[in-house]
Amino acid sequence: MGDLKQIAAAVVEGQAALVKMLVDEALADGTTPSDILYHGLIVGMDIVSARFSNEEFYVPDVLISSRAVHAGMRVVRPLLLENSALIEGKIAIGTVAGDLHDIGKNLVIIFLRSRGYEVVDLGIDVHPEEFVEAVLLQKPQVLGMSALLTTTMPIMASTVKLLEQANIRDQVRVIVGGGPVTHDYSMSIKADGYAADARSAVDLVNKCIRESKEEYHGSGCIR
Amino acid sequence: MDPVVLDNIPFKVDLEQFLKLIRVTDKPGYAEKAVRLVTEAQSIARPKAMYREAFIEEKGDDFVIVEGITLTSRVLRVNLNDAYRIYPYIATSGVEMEEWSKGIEDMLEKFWVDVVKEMALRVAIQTFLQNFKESTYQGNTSSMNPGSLQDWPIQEQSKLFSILGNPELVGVNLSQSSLMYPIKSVSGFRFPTEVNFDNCQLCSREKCPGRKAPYDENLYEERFA
Repeated sequence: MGDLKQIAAAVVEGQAALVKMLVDEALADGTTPSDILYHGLIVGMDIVSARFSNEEFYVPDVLISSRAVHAGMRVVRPLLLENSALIEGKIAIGTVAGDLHDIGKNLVIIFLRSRGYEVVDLGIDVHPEEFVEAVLLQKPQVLGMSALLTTTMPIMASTVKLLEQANIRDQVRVIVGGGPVTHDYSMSIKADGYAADARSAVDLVNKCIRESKEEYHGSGCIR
Repeated sequence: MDPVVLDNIPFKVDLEQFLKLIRVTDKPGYAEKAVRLVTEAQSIARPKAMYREAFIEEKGDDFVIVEGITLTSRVLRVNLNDAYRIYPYIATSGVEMEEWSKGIEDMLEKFWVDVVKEMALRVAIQTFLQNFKESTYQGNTSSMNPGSLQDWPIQEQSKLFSILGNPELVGVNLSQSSLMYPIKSVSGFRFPTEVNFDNCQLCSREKCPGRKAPYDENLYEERFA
């Protein structure tokens, strides 16, 4: 059985080559890919996320740890997909039109990718039509919108309305976040969820993806 | 006054400062990789700035007319009480580095290049301020930027570009949402004033990494209402 704690520690330290080596060793020792992902790589990234929240880690530290996770993910992902042990999910995310702030959005992307999700980064200055187009073309389960300015928040409402007009609102969970955005605001524009920071955004996406799978099988839905 | 175009700004990254900023000093392999990327970015980077002098023709309650163009902002209007001229400006990290960096997919490398772009922008701003002070206006000035306050929306950015004349001289364009491209660009108007002003004094956002002055909750009522 490979040392999962050591994998987590190597992720925290951002040692990509070591993570890959430890993951290879763990697999050779008979540890399941699922255990490596959920009890090694993700545990490490959760520690990184907590340290970032506590301001012990900064953006470059998170990026370096994320590289280490991906070094391990590249090994286990194909095995997980083979065994259907990975919760697959696709998220499209962007910063709304008129807004160029992308640090928060990028952090959410990093943490989501570290969970094994496929993330389509729509970039900054994204117009409602572009969000709708992304939903139509990319078919994500979750659409994320970020705004850091009070003046650009209404773009989120316009996007939800445009999704309704295009009759595709029910095909995607819409989540919102960013400095001035609040839970009440997310409710007022009929979004499905609000996240205050990158860490809670990941929890929210996990919930959305889980519920979208359940909905697929005929039970519950987030709305 | 013809615009002053500063398009030959020397730019050299302080590697020690850069490596500290990207926090790789204790990460084997990363520093070397980052230095290679920075060296390439530095050879491509062409930070630039431009500005000109423009004259105020008329003042209303919440607007001023500059060379036939109406700028609508109560805060700007009050700040220009004693001014009869204004200096639109743009400073940018440069389109060259922006175009080059489009090919970079890796998020860590993107972040490193972003730090270099930010450094290039700071150099462009410093060069503009120094040139402005030495050769155009020696007195005290402050700056306002469209989009920094609710009072003056970002849509007024196109007016600044019109007054400035030909921003393409420094390779800066506006998006449909009035955001500047390259992204690491700043624009604004400097204006002569004896009373220092900073947009941050009227902005209550907490934990803002770019804050230059403390928020003054009474300032709007006292000076601009």
